[in-house]
Amino acid sequence: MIDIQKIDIQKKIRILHVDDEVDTLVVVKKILELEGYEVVSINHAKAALEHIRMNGFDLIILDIMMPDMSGWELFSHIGAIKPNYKVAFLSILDIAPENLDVMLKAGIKAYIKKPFDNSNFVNQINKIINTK
Amino acid sequence: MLNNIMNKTKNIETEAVRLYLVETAKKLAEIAESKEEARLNLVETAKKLAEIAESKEEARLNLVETAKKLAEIAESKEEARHNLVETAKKLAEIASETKFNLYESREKYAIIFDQSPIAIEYFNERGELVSVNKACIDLFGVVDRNDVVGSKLFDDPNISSVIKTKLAAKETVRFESPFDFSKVKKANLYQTTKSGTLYLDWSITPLMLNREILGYIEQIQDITERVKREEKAKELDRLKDMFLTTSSHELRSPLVPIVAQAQMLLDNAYGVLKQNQRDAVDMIIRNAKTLSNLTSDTLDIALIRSNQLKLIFEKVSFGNLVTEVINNYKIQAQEKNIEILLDPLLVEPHISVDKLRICQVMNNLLSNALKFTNENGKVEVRVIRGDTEIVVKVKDTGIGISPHQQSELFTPFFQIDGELNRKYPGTGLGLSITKGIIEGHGGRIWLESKGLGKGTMVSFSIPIIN
Repeated sequence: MIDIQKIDIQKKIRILHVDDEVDTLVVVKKILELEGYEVVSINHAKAALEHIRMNGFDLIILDIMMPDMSGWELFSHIGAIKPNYKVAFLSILDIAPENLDVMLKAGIKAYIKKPFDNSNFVNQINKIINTK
Repeated sequence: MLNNIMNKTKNIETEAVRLYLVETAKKLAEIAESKEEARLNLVETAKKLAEIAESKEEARLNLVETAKKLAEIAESKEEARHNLVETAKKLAEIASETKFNLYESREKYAIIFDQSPIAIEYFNERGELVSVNKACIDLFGVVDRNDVVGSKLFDDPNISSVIKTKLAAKETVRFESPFDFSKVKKANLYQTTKSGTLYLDWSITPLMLNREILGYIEQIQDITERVKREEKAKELDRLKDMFLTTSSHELRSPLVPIVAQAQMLLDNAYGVLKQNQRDAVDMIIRNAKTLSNLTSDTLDIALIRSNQLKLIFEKVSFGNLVTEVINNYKIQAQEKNIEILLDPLLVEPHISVDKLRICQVMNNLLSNALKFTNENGKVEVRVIRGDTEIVVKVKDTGIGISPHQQSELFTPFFQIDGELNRKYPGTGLGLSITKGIIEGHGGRIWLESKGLGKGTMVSFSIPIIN
């Protein structure tokens, strides 16, 4: 678990969450803010890309099925702009093991499946943040 | 006389006379001798003549015999001639009759050929079109029969080199291919009233006589309607699968914030809840999870039915896996005072399975067993290791199932009817998903029940793959 006090003193850890479902954005923001993170939520992949160009983030959480651009495509664009960003997928799609392998090799930090158990979700995010 | 003369000569003084006489005597003796010889010759000749006469008689007799025979032969020849005449007459009769029959059967076959509902083309041994029937004319919209007669079978673009090889090997070939009338018009092959594309079923048979190709029969059927029906069915299947996959995802998406927010409420993220508020939120979570399971099941069925279920194989201790799942049901079993027994012999072996999917199978079988077993009942799990497979048996003392419903249990959306369905609600997908997962592992699943009220035993096997 993150020490919220410590984070408050230092600069807050910034997470960008991209998902076309607004309610999911709201609830994820709430869960992660309770953990002391600063969360920016965007419901358009293309707008998110602009945001990434302009701002810095410690972690980007991407949905996969989005109408204007898939999370996978967005990830490849992010790689071109900021190759060292930590990126995780948060998706309802079942993933075939071979695809998961490809994703992990491509640098995706985690594949989290929706619907998630709140505490499991928080644990996974903390783990990614705390891993160098 | 000779002796007398000889004696007289002794008395003759004159030597010359004597010599002359001797000479004469000798000649006389010679003559006498030759006369004897001639006599003897005569005798011999007479004998021979007698012999000849005898043999001539024989010859005469032979001639008589031969003449008699010749007479007989002459007589039989007459009979033969008569027979020949008779045979010739009969042959003439048969010939005229046969001509009539031939004419009649040729007519019949011509009618069969021309009026067959299947389009038929007849080619000669060189593959040149000799004749086509009415169905063929209609099928290809041929305006003038003479346009197509003489066209070459082996020049037809539908006849591939593979087909040519097969035909040369005297084999019948059959294939389906689309036929585009615009090509006919473009190449100006023949005048046609048709346009567009037809799907045709072609069959070409070499006609054989004494192992030689006499010609070819091509039969063509219009299967456009069938092909279109099949394409439509495939498209519908694809749409159905896509609908199921998409709708499963779409249905599950709203559940994400529902469950997450409800959990936050229970975690007092929005303030401490009263007991009745907690109960309400509990109900929301419970039903949201049911809905989530239902959508997952629907997606699983869609994947299984479209052969897209992907299994992630890993080596697991099968005993541990089963024990873990059973432990999850201990509390639920205690609530109904149902005893869960696990055959203690199973600890090993390690086998290759999709761990999560096998857990899903065990969850399904155990939850069914507990659901359909009344209080104070018993659920027994046995794992049997064979040489090539592992068999798991889940036996309960529950309500059982009637024989006529047993075969239908693995059908998607099948549920026991009426009263029981209301008492034991469910999606009716569990067993068909279980079957799909087991079959995906190369195993089998089967069910045994002696009838209503007599318990149920569901067994499945998983092959051991090294």
